[in-house]
Amino acid sequence: MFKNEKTRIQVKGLNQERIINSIIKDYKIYNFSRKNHQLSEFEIDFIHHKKLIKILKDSGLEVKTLLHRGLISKLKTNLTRFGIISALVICFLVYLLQYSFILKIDIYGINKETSKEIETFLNNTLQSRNKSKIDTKNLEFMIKENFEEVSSVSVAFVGQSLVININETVLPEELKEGQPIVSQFDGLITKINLIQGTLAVNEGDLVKKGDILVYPYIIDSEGEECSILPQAEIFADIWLNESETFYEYLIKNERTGNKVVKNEVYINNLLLYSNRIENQFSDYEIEESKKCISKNNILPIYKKTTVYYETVAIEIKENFEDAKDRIIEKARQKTLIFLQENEIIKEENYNIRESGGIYQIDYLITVNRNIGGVNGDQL
Amino acid sequence: MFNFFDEIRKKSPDAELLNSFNLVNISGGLLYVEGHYGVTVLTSEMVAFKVKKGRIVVEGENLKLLELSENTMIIQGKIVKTELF
Repeated sequence: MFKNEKTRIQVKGLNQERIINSIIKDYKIYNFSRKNHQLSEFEIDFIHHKKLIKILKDSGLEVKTLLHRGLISKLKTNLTRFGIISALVICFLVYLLQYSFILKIDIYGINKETSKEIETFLNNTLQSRNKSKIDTKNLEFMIKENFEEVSSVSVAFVGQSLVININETVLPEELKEGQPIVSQFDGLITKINLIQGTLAVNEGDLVKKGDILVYPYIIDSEGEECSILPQAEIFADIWLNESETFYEYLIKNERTGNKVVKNEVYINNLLLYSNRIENQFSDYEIEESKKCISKNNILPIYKKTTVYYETVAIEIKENFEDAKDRIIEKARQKTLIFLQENEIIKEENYNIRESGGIYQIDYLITVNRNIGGVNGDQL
Repeated sequence: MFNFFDEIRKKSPDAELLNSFNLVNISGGLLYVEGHYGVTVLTSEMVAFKVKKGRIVVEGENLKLLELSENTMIIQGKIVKTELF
């Protein structure tokens, strides 16, 4: 490490060899070079430079330049700068002083709202931020006392933070507060299997969608309400209903197969280019699509394609009696979509209404289903 | 302790007489000297120093002393001539 600690000296004077010979008896000289008959340069070890300079001056040589190199020489130079030293000392003292105070409180293991409450509680409780004046055991006890959600807590200093690790209280499933079981459908209750909760309905009751079926509480032996998670199976006959309309006389627009495609390019709603193809059809349907051409959003260039399909009006006349079976089956299929897997159909029937050549078939399927649900989800 | 110069000296019948100084020229660019008694001339073209019973003059170009101590020195530069007087 000290090999590289050198001082480069440039001296001026006569008869340097004699002085050099006296120096080398005690000290080593490196990289001696002669610039001219009076000026020469050489290096010596940094630790000897002061003594050597005295010798050179006493010998009558003029020391022209002095250059230190190496880490220790730099350190030594800086350490004599009192401004830097005092600044370092002050910084160190300030750091030591402020280190004994906590700067922030970190809480882990609990939800955000409770975490904020605990932080507010601690800020109000702590008389001082000085670490020596904070009793962590006492803090742990106080947090447990004041917050029911806390099952276990540990308080510790980590650097300048007060770190609080919390384990939340876990309630058994049965004791969790819940939402009431409500009916997901309109129906007629046929069977009730109550596991826990308080029933709001009986077998044979007619219920609408959204009606409460089971309340989320029970009455204990002392007549007090205890909140619980309600559980029950409530079966009811529900009605699945869809309809299909039939017209004996109908005018329908059908596409002939002819079409015209118009392409336009826009830059930020300003038309840049158009293939100038205009629609010639008297009766038509339009389909439009937009596609962004530029990948970035600085220049929003997009292509708009408009397709005109030529249509022709077709009269359709059909007798209801000829189409009846087909329409009824269509209505039935529409209703069956709402049937759940492995569900048994209790009853099926349909109703036909007619008015001025327009026939409406209402198809009804009755099934038995568990209608209870919580928060919109079926149980 | 093994001494390189002693080992070479032993090969000569006049080993006892060859104990005043040692000079090693390395590739004409570096000259190691052991056993000098002080420098008399130090320039970039000439370095002269005293040895036991004489003096040595080293001539060359861009000469400089890499190291100089009481007893040894290393001269760096283009070493053209080494003379013993």
